[in-house]
Amino acid sequence: MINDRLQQIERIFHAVLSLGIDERRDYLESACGQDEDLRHEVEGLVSAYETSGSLLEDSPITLAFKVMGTKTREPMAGAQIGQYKILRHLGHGGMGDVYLAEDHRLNRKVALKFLSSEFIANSWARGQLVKEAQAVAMLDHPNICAVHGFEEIGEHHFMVMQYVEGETLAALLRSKALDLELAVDLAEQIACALAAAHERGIVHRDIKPQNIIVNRQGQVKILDFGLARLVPRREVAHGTADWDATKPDGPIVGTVAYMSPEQARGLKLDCRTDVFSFGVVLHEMLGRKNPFLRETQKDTVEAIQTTPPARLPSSLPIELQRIGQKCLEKSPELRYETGADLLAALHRFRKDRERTVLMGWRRYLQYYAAATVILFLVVAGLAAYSYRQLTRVHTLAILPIQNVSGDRDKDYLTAGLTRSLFERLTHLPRLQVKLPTVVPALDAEQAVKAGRDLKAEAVLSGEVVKVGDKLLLRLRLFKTTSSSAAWQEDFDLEGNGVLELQDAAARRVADSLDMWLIGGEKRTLTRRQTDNQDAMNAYMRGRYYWSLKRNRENIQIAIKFFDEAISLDPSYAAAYAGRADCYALTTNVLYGPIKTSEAIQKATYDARKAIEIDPLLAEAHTSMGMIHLRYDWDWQEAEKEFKLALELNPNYAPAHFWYSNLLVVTRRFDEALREAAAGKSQDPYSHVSAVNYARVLYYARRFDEAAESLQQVLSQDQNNVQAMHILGLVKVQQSDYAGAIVTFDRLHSIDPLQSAAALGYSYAKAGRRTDALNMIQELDEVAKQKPVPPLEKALIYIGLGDRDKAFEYLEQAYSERFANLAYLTTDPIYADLRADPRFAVLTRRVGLTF
Amino acid sequence: MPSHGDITALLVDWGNGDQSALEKLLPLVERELHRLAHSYMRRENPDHTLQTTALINETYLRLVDQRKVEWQNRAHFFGIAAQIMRRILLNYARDQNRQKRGGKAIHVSLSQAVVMPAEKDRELIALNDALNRLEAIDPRKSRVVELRYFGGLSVEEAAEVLSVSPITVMRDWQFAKAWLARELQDD
Repeated sequence: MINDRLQQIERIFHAVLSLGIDERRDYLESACGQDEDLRHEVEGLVSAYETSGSLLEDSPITLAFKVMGTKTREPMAGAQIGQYKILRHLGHGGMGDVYLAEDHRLNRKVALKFLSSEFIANSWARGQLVKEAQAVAMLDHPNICAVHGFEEIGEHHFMVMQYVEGETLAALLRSKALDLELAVDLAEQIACALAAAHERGIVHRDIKPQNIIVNRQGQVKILDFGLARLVPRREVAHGTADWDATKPDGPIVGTVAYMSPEQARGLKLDCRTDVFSFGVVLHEMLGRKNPFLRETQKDTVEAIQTTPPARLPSSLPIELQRIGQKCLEKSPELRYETGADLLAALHRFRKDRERTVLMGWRRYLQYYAAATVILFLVVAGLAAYSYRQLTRVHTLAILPIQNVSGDRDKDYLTAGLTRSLFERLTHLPRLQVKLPTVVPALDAEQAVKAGRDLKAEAVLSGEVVKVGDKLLLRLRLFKTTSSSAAWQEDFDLEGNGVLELQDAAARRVADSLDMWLIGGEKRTLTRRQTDNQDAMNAYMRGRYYWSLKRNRENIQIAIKFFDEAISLDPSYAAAYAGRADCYALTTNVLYGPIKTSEAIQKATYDARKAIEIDPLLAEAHTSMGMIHLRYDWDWQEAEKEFKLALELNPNYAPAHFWYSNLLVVTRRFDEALREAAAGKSQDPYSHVSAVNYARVLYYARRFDEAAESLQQVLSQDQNNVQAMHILGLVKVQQSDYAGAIVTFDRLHSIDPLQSAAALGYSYAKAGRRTDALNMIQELDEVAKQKPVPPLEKALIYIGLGDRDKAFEYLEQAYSERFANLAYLTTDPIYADLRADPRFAVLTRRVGLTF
Repeated sequence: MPSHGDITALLVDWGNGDQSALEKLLPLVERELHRLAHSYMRRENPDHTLQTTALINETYLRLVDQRKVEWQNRAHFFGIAAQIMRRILLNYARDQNRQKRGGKAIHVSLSQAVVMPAEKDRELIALNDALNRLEAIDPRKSRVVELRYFGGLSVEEAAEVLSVSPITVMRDWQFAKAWLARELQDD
């Protein structure tokens, strides 16, 4: 109810307004009488009314409409939707609003992209969106903002995405000029994401700086993969304003100035549209300007279709200009075909550039030194010093970090820290890193000696120690010219995350080597394979068990840890590579409870995945090469992968190891010995690399040298089963059957499974037929519990001269694609079969045609 | 998605005095308005109040089965729209105001966002507060302002919603304007 007083005021107010100015005073006097308050009240209101000007004049409904057109229905902060608690509004996407939320079930922050009602109402669009979200969800890639899924909870429809903290490339470009190194680095990461998506047939369609986020570590994350075609475009190019939901390829999407010519025409799109848009972004990163942006949309669209873009500044490297130009070709046929081609071009460019930067300095300093020698000898001396510092290649040996904390559970950590320091430092172009897996001991003197043995100029040694309650990583750097530490530092292992610790340690090591790092190199040092500490930890544990004594249990534990790392970070390439290595091992009779075919399938999947995520990861290419070598019997592909791995990381020992094996299989023994020797010099104290070298000698039929090397290993490690096994085989070739039997017998007492076939074979060769047949029986017994590769029995039959049986089992091995068949023409053990016509057929089928 | 029938039925219920129908109606109308607003944002020149009102009318015609509702229901529909618009604008003004005072930077592109003219946000917040005070002493006048200002309704349309004569709406409007102007001067 309105009170009487107000009614009174209102009545007088309206009356006053209806009067002329002159009449108002008299009227007020009579109407209000002695009530001064009343009169004052009315006068105030009338005056306020007359001076109210534009108040309430223009309805803000249009404004409200605009706001609605860009915002979701209601402010959602604080709302709880299913397992998600909305924290705050992040921004507007083409489809609706994006909110930061906490996922209570998985205890992580996520970005939720809500669909505007327009989308919810359009069931076609909704269906497409769900499909698209599923496709993108398959894209686990460190440079792609992960899509976790699509949810419909109550009236809410939203996509659940990874939450990425960082700045858009657009903001970055506004705030500062990018130096060349940074621009190329970002470009490479964008191309890497495109390569992975294109591989799966997903085209982004809307690559632009607003969709590219750069996080604090300088890592690129691309948003909204594949969603562009579902978003009605706000911008209107030549009048095709309305979004036609029935024609998915019809609407012209993408922010106009980044569209490809075919996109501007509304034609069908493929990967090459992304290549074009990438070209525009690259142009903007390098030339600071969008080459097509004009005053109006119409002019912009026309420029995209007809005007050749202004060239990139001629101060930029020619090759980079060429790459930029090729992306922006009007005709898609003339561009890079996919992201992978683009990535390859950029990677080549960067590698070449790292070399030329070095040469440039060299030339500059040579000139500088020459000029100054005449004028100022002192300056020349300084210049020459800097010249050396800048261009010299340093050799660093990283010794295995020791765990002296007394806590055995930290063993994995020391192994992981060693490996991660290696991974970070090994990519510096002017640093050669050696990573021996074994060193004798670790006092200062021995560290320096190890450094000299490794022909390194500096040695990094480290320990995990417990000081009070604190767990510390103590790193020491020695120059091999002196036994006092050049640098020593303690890092708190518990205060910081292990990732930060690795960043810091790698940086400090590079600093203490007096390496003047250029921008790109510094970033290399802190480039992370994952941002997830727990994933990193699981990965380190996986690699630790993988590197321990190879047995079934350790391999299974390693697989479990890699599983965990992958589930925590599905874009963790190195973890896939690690798991691939494990699965490949499980085909071995010693390690595998699963069938060869299944193991190969799993290993292949993981290796592919690792390469897809990070095409520049040497581990991944090594794993893939190993699979090609052992199971696909595709020597050419295997060689390609190994060479690529070694180009990417010449210090990665397993690549040398497996490459030497490929060279054996393809009967290039000299090269094989060179590779095996390279592996040995990387890791001079390791028995694994020594045994591998001896094994290559055995295949090269240099039996005496092989025996000598193996005896040496056994003199230090008398129970080394691998060394014993090969020594036995060598003895067979030397016709020392008795010696072979003694060796295999001893091996049999340690490891019956690995030696059964070889022992049976030796018995057979020595004429002890019954003993040989007993070994077959023993294998049959084992086979009741777990699969025994058919090659084992074939070996004994070869020894017995029973070719029919031998070929029967060889055939079986072939049908299982058993790895060791690759050695049919190189392993002397098969020599007895050569005369049989079936042998030629089999070797041809395996592809051994050299 | 609610069918036309849902909204029609709810409007009828509400017209018959079922207050809970309004609760159900609000989100449905809001969703529809959003849909409309989104397509509106894509039109060439989205700057006319008149066009906006015409659009809401269009929506109403599309949403509601005309054979089943009284003619007053259209007005009610507009009344609901006005309420929603007011709330939307106010929240937006508050958000923008908060951000101006140094809220966190937003990482997703805001290129498509609407930026209110300077001062408009604070003006809206103050007006809303004043309107709330007016509502406490005279709810109908507050409604008149809501309908005409936030809903873009004409005098006649507002009269329909409130079931009063147009002259009453005009008088309410004048007085409310004076009252609000004085309140805002004092602020």
